[in-house]
Amino acid sequence: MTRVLIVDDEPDVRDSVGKLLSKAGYDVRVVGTAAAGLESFQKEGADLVITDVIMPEQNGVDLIRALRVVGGAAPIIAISGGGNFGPTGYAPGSITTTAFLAAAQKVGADAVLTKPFESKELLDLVTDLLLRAGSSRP
Amino acid sequence: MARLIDTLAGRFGIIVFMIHVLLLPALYVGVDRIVTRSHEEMFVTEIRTYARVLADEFELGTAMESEPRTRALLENVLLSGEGVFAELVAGSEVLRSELDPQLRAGHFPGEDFAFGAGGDDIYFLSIPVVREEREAVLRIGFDERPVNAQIQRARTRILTSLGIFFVVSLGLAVYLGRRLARPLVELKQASRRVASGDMSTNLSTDSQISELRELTSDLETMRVALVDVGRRLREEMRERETTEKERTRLVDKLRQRQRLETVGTLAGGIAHEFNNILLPIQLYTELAIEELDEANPTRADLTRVLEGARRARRIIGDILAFSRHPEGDVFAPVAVATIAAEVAHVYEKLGKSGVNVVRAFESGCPMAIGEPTMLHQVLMNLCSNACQAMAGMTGQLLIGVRAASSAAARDAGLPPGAYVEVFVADEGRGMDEAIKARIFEPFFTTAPIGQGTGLGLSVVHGMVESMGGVVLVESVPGIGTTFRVFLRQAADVATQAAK
Repeated sequence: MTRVLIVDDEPDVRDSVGKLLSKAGYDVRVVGTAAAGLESFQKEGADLVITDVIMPEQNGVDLIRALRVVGGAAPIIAISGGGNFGPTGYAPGSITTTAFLAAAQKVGADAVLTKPFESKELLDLVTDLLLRAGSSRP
Repeated sequence: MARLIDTLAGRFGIIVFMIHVLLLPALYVGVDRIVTRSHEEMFVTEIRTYARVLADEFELGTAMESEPRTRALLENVLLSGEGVFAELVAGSEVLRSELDPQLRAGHFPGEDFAFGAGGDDIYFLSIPVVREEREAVLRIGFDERPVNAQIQRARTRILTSLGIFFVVSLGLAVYLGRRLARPLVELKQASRRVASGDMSTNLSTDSQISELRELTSDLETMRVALVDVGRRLREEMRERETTEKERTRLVDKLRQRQRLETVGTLAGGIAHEFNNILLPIQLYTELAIEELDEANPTRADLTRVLEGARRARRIIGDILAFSRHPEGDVFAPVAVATIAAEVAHVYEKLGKSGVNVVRAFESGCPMAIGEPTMLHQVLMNLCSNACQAMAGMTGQLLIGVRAASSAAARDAGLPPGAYVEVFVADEGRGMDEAIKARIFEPFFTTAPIGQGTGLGLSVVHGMVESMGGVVLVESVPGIGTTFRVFLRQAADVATQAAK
C-alpha cells in the first residue's frame, strides 16, 4: 500500500484529510508537528507527504527542506490556509502565506494547495504526483 | 436741548450770547450816561446863556425903570416855552411873573447847581443884576421834564439798537457756526458711507481750512489702508478655505484608507482560521455523502452543506484578495487591450442569457503600467457585476480600451500625465447617488441574500489603486452603469522615471 504522511497542527484538518485518503485506499500516518513528521518519515518512510506550511515551533518550509536533506525523493504537497500570518498575529506587514507557499516550492515542494480544497482536487493531485513519481522509479 | 448745545452753531451761539449778556449791560450803562449827561449839560448851558442874556437885558435896557416893563420881560421867560418861573428881587421888592399853574412850588427854593437837583423837575437859577448902582437878583426856573422826556427817548433808541445788535450778532454766530460745520458734516457723511461698507468713496473736502484738510487727508489714508486690509483678509480667507477643503479631503481619504486597511488586516488574519475550519467541513461532508445511497434524502441536505462551504470559500478568497498587500508585485507594462479581449472572450463563451458582449478597443492603444493577473481579476469582477445588474434583462455588456483624454484624467482627479482608460458598461438597473457613494465599500451589495459577496468591487478598487490608477463609476438609474478604470501609460511612467 502506498504510504502517505500527513503533517498539520490542526487536528480536524489532519483527521479529515487522513480519513479521506484512508477511504481512498492509502496507508495513512497523521502527525501534528514538523518534528514528529520528520521522525515518522525517517523511521517508517513515506511515498508521499502532505504538510501544512504554517505551524508553530517549526514551519512546513523547514520540514520540507529537512526531508530533502535526509534524502527523501517522495512527492511533497504543501498546503496552507491562506491569509496573513505573523509573529504578532493579525497586523499590517505580516507575512502572507503566499510567500510561504512560494518558499515551500523553492525548497522542494512538488505542488501547493490552498485550503479548503475539495476531495476530488486532493485525490486527483495525489494520484497525479504518485504516477509521475512511480514512473520515475526504477 | 443738550443736542443743540453740542453743535458748532449752538456753541457759537451760546458763546456770543454769553459775551453779549456780560458786555451789553455795561455798554448800555456807559452809553446811557454819556447821552444823559450831554443832554443835561446842553440844557444847563442853554439856560445859563439865556439867563445871562436876560440879565444883560435888565442891566442895559430900560426894563428896570418901570414895573410893567420889568414884568413884561419876566413874562418872556414864561413865553419861551420851558420857563416856568421868573422873578426879580431888588431889596425887599419882589416882582414875579405868572407861574405855570401846574407847578406846585410857589416860591424860589434856592438855586440848583445841578440838573435834577431839588427834587422838583425845575431848574432854578439866580443871577445878580446891577443897574446904575441898583442891585437886584434875577431868579428863573425852567421845566426839566421835556429834557427828561428827551433822555428817555434817547434811552429807548439805545436799547433798541443794542437789542438789534444782539439778535443780529447771535444770528450771525449761528450762521457762521453752521457754515463752518458744513464741511465737517460732509466729512461725517462720507465717513459713514465708508463705515457701512462702501469703500469706493473717496474722502475729500472743498474747505480751505488747513486743519480740516489735514484731517480729511488722514482719514482718506486710513480708508485706503482699510480697503487694502479688507482685500488681503478676503484673499487669505479664500486661501484658507481652499486649504481647509483640501485638507478635509485628504483627511477623509486617509481615514477611508485606514479603515479599509484595518478591515483588510482583520479579514486576512481571520481567513487563515476559517480556511482551516472549512477544510474538514468540506472533506467530512463529502465523505458522508459517499456513505449514503443515491436515493437517501439526507444526501440532498448534505449537498446543501457543501454548497455553503464552497460559498464560504469564495468569500474568504475575495476577502483575501481585498486585503492583499502587494509585496513584491512588480508592475510592468501591460497590454491592456489583450487582457480586455481575453475577458470579453470569457464572457462571450459564458453566454449569459440576455447579455450581448460588445468590444470597443481603440487601435494603437498604448500599454499601461499594472499587473496582468490583477487587471484580469479587475475586469472579471466588473463584468460579473455588470451581468448581475442586467439579471433578467436584455442588454449590452460593453468592454472598451482607449487612450484617456487629459480632460477625462483631470476630471478623475488624477495628477497630470498620460493614462489608459479601460471601461465596462452595462444597460442594467443603474444606481442612484446613495448606492453609488457606497459601491466600493467592502460587503456592500445590492444583490439578494445568498448571491454575491459584496467584495467584488472593493477588490477592484483596491487592485486598481495598488496599480497606481483610479476607478470611477457613472450611473443613471434605469439606464445603466459604466465603470472606468484609469491606469498610467507605460511610456509616461518611463518618461517620468527618466526625469
